[in-house]
Amino acid sequence: MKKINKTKILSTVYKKWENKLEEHPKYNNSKVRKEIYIDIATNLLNIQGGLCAYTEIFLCNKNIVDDNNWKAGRFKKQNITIKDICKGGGLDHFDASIKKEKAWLWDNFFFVDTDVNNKKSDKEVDSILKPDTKDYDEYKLLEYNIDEHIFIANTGLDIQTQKRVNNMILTLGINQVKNVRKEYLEEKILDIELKYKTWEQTSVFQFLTAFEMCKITMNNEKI
Amino acid sequence: MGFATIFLNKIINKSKNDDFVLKFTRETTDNIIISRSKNFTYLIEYFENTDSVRKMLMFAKETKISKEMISKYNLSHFNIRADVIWADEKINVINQEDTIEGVLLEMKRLYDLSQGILNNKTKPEKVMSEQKKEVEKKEVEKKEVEKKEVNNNSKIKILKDFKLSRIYLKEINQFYKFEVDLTYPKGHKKEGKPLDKVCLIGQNGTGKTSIIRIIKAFIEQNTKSKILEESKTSIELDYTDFSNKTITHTYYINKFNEVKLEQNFINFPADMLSVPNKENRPIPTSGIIDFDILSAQKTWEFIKKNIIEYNKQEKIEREKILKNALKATSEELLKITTEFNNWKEKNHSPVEKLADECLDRFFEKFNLKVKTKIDFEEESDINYLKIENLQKQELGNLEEVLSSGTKQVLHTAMPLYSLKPENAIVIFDEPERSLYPDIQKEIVDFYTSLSPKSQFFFATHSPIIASAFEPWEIVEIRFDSKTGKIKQELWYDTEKQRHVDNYFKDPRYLSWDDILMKIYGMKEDGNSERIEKLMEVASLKSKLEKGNFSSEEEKQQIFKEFKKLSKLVNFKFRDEKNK
Repeated sequence: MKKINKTKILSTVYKKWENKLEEHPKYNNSKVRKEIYIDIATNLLNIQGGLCAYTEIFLCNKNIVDDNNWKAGRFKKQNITIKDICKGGGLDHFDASIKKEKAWLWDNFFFVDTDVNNKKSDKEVDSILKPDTKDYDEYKLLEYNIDEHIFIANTGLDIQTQKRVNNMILTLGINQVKNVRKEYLEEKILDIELKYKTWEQTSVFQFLTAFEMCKITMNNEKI
Repeated sequence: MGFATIFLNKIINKSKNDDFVLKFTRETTDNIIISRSKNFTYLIEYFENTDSVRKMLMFAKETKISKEMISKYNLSHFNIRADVIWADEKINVINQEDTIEGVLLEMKRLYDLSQGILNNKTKPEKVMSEQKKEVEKKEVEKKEVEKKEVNNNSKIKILKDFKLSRIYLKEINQFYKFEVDLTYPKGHKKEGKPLDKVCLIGQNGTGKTSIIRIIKAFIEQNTKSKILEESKTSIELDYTDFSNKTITHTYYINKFNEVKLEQNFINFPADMLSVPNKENRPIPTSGIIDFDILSAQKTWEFIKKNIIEYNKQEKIEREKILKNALKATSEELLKITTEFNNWKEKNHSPVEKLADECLDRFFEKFNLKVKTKIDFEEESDINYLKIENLQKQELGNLEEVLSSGTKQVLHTAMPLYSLKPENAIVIFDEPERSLYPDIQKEIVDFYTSLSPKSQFFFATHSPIIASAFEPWEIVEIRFDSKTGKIKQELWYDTEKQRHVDNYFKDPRYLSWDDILMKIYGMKEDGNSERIEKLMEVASLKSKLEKGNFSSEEEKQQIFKEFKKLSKLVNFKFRDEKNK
């Protein structure tokens, strides 16, 4: 799970509106949703590079949401649904407990894979793995097991922190896509192992963190 | 034979400018509706070689009925109707039924008539009476045509021993323009031939059972089947004609077909064991055999009949021995006994055959076997097959002692074995029901081997059953999220041709786990507890690799735990070195 920088605001119309809010409209308010959902979603997809915030599985081509598709603080295409842009994704309230009070809070939003979102549901969260926080550092908090292609807490952390991180890995469904991730990365790694390509020549469009961690692990093994 | 009506409607004199408009509309009297909208002007390509008619049709603008359509829908008879109107007054009504050639002549006559009216610019009184005579004459001709039709009916072609090569569902329930190619692809040794076996897979509700029902309704020619109300739904049948050539015929159930289907067809429904109130009538030896309605147990009657015949014959052979044995020398006695044994060897008992060739192969897995020694005095003593365990203890009432899985095998294999259908279409809905995986693994080969010339359809949720099929034999159906309709998920690169080399999925080469994930679309390989445990093992492995232990005892404890858990979750080590 990559660190996410949410300071890039393309949906300025929404953000101004959100800044001024004293009381948030309900999340299921269809009029509000119609007005701002696409803007929030596409802004996040732009920031997240078209990937799910937690699993880094591919959701949409980043060209669809790049900066050229914005005009005057709004996503140019407005008469569309999220299904027209990406396959199987939606907005997630990282901390579901504040959804009721602050349904449209930018800081609490991430764009994630639908299955992951459904499983996460309203589960309690720990901000230790909130990918946009200042202290979040995937390389300090996480480790990647290349056998099963799963993330675990860095075993160098104290037991209590490891427990918190592992609980959040489960809550965010980071290992829920392990089979897709395994299939995708193993094909890349095989090319490298067979010396058909080098790590540097290999590009990935999803699971970037896992790929980077595989690279570090395997290069260390060589040494 | 199809029947269509052409309304030459109307020959109008617009009175003031003395111009005529010939309008043609076409409707059908049966349900072969090409179009019913508005007043169409049709150009009938079929008539284009007839000069005068072509002239007459020069007013026509659209082509709606082609030669091919006439042939496709078997429109050999037409009814032509014309209102001849002069200055807004109907002066004649023509209503004539005829063959295409007859209609051609009549149209030509009408054209001449209209030209005559146009040239004379007078109200054609004379024409009216001639027309009346003409109508009477045509009435007589009509009766002759009817007679001819009756004769034609006797020439209806009967199609049997076919296999399905294509299914096209124009619009039925969730299917819209749904098309399935059921032939072997290019590059296959059976290229272009209908598939020997087909496996239907797909999520619940995608329509596997519907497809099965549609096939059944087609073969039964069930025109009342609600599912087939849409007339343009078709199946293509490949059959071998008298010259041993494979012919493809498109069959529409709700249209007049000059063919009749007489196909051997066996249906094994998913719930064949539990459906109550099945008909107690005997199983037919051919035609439609539907175990949705019939009791599979009844196929025992065929075997029973053979057993009785065999026993009679055996009795005769035994009596021969007894008769001769009384006066035979020891040498002769040996010869007689050898002869009898030879006879026994050549003429296996039907129950032994059933056991050896069919059932025991599976029953052994259940610790059972068919009881081959059957002593009986009367027919009623052998009401049903007897089963014993491997310790040769006969079991009681089969329905009570056999498990659902054993009954499932018994009730499906026995009909196939005893009926020995040739060139049939055999359908299995969820054949995996109640069967343990090791039996599922063999069931497709087993059932198909019992009727090698038949075409089999299996609708299944079992990855094990799916693995018994070549990729082109699998029809994966799923919802198209964009259209909300059902589509076939094609397993070959659609930008390239349907060739064996262009298939990218092949269940025969995948593990069961992989079939679940790559073919059945399961995203996870276990439940959430498995992921949790895998993470625990991965953490232990990481700790062991890092080697930061406070004591040797801690290291040993972690190592022990790691070994235990990695076995428990079947942790997949990337390479042996890591293991």
